[in-house]
Amino acid sequence: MKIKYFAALRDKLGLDEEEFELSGDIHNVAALKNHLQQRKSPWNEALAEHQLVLVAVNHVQGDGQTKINNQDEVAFFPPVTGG
Amino acid sequence: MTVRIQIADFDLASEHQALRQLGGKTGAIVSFTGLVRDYFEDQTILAMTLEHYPGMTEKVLEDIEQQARARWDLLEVAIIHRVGYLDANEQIVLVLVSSGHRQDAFLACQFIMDFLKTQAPFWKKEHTSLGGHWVTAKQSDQEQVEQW
Repeated sequence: MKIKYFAALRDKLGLDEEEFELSGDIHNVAALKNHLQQRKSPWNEALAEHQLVLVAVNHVQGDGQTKINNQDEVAFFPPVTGG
Repeated sequence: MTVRIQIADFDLASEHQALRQLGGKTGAIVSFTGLVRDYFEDQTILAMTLEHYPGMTEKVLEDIEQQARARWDLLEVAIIHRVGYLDANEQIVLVLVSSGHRQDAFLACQFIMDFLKTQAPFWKKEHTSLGGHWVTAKQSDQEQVEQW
């Protein structure tokens, strides 16, 4: 699957996108997020709950419960500020 | 339906004229233009960088337009949002709505902007003499959209 990072989150992580292979025990966004937080700093702080990181799966806003598979595109981003 | 994400500036008069030419039964056209403010608290904003999520942005804006159409009697809708590097006072976004009646046009235009500001995946970075900072989403925008 592809994971994309936008705006301030991308700046914190130093990464705008990556290819990621889901392992057997990651079935939803919450599990993916937990896995990513295991990486060294700044991943843990940047994806922490209080940071209000939003998620979209295949261009549709989702949440921790949203199911994912290896064909999906997941994006993590801060609250939006357009207009 | 016109939804455009573009770097280039837009011209209100031409977009307005294009909308007018599209149809009969038009009694009212309402427009909203958003500009880059040149201040943030006590600092002068020199410029802004705007990014978006290609693929999702267009979908979200089209969906917002459909929601507006479901609630009000609309003829044409145009949403044009710029991205890239914009100087202070430049135009950012244009929403044009036409209808047979002004009430529908006014309300739909406000609705579209309120939802765009809280749902469309754009992010702004403001540049001042102290450097760049990412704009944070405002609680007041969230409260505003919940009024609908």
